[in-house]
Amino acid sequence: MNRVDGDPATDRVDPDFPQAAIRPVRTWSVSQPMRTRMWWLTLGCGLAAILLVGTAWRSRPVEIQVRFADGHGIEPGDSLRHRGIAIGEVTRARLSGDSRQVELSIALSPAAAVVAREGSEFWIQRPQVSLSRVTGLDTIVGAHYLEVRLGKEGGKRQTRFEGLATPPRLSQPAAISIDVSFPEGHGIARGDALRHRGVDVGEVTNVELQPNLAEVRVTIQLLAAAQALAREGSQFWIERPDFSMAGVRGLGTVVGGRYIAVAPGKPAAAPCQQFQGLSRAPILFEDTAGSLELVLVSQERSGINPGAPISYRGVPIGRITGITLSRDARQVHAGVTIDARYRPLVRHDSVFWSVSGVGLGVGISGVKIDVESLSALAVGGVAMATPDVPGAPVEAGHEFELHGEPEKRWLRWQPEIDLPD
Amino acid sequence: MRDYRACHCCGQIHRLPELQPGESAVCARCGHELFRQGSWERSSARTAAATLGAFLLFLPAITLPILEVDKLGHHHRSSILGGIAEMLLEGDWFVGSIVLVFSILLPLVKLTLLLELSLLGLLHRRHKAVTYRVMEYVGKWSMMDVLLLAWIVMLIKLGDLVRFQFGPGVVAFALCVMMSILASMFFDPHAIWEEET
Repeated sequence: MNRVDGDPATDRVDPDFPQAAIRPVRTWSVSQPMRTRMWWLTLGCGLAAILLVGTAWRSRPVEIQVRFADGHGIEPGDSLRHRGIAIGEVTRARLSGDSRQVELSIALSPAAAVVAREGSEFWIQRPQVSLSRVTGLDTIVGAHYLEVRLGKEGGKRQTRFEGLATPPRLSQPAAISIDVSFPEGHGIARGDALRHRGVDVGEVTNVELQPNLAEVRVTIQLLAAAQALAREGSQFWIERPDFSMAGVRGLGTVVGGRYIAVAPGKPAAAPCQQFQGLSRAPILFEDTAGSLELVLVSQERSGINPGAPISYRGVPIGRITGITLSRDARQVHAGVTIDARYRPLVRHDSVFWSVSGVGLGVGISGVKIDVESLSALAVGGVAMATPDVPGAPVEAGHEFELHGEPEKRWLRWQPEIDLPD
Repeated sequence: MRDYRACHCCGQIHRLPELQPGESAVCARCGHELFRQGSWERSSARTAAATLGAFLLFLPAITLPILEVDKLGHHHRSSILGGIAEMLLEGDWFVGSIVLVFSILLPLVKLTLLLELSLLGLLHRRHKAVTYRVMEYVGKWSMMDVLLLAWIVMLIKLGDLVRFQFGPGVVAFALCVMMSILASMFFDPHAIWEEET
């Protein structure tokens, strides 16, 4: 490059720089101010931003709060599950203002926003091992999690909940709640089941001692399907191991925990929500339709107990349902139910005698012991016989005398009576 | 009007000829374009457009969830801002504030200055020059792209350990980074001086 030194004016005015070449501008260039294709890009960015915010907004989590008495080590990041899949996440776990409860904030995934409705129940899943059931084993090695059971369809929206202390036993929400007062609790606890015909139909949600210290009041939530149990005449008792010579019952409760059993009242009975529980299992008959109710009158109880069998030629045909004193207290009345099939056996001239205890006879041939059955030895028993020429059938409520001993001829009676199939 | 212009590419100084509309001056030595009628307006407009785009995307980029991670039953979803807040809350002041300053505050400052230089015209030339230098300096430390890279590296590393899922924030963030790179690419410092010619 030739630099001309010397006259600075010349240097300033006319330097020896080459002139730039000139090239036509390609036609796509737009040169007006503010007109550039880049604005489309801005617009695109704006749209993208709106779109992204929109999708994020649509999938934003729904926040709910659940309070628990015990946090069981739940932490932020733990999941909320429903039917085994995660539908939300604990975002915060902290003590409530009064330090009595733990308050968990849970972010529900948008698809599971329905969980936030009235009646939903939350509990913390944790390992639970008892002889009757093992649950929550996955939480031993994996993370803890919360579980939820949905409230009723169409429930109102709700975002604050009280958590359950124990996992609910029932798979569906309870329909109604009933109160049963028991004279003795036998260790029944919250979370125990109410069973009818061997399946869980309700759950004990509260057990409390009454202020008079004489009763225990148990609150039970009933399933919708078992709602009909809440009617007058239903009997509730706490099933527990019961060993007697008449039978062993409630063995399942030895290892499986106590439960409350129920015998429904008559179908047409009025609805009822307050019950007096029984102190022990009542004597129940599976099928009482068509059976015959009788009364045996005797001077003494002579060793018979409720539940004792009525036998005809050694075959059980019915049971003693209850034993009371007569109104004037001069006699003992024993209620008897004869099964429907054996109803024709009972006639006006039938005789009943007690076979309870052991018949001990000492004769020339030695000692003779008469025992009808082992169970008769324990709870007593009643035998019945009908003459060779049977009399007229009896109506329900007929009274018979209960003899202490049979007469010889009764034992030889062999009437021919048609029994229904 | 006499005007001189050095070639960006080879450094050759030229006298600029009088240009008719539709013509551009190119370097006599290497052919690089030196000047074009309305070039500073175009550069400003492009820069402004890209900057505005970056601005629009900036907010979603830092607030929308960027990543959803599932690990051993733990589900975690976090945005950049949320992640920084978490770090600060957990007492990780150093890393938290570094990320906050270098990937949120400085990029924001840079974008604002670019927008001011290219579009708003609030400042006098001389102040624009100062602004430009500040912007240049800040720009070196605004590291959104580095953060994005760090994220990607982390994801590739973690890919086998955890199950993760991109959130909408990633798209916004990537677009935002692209826009801010475009904006600084388009910005022609000559525009500051040629505005009033």
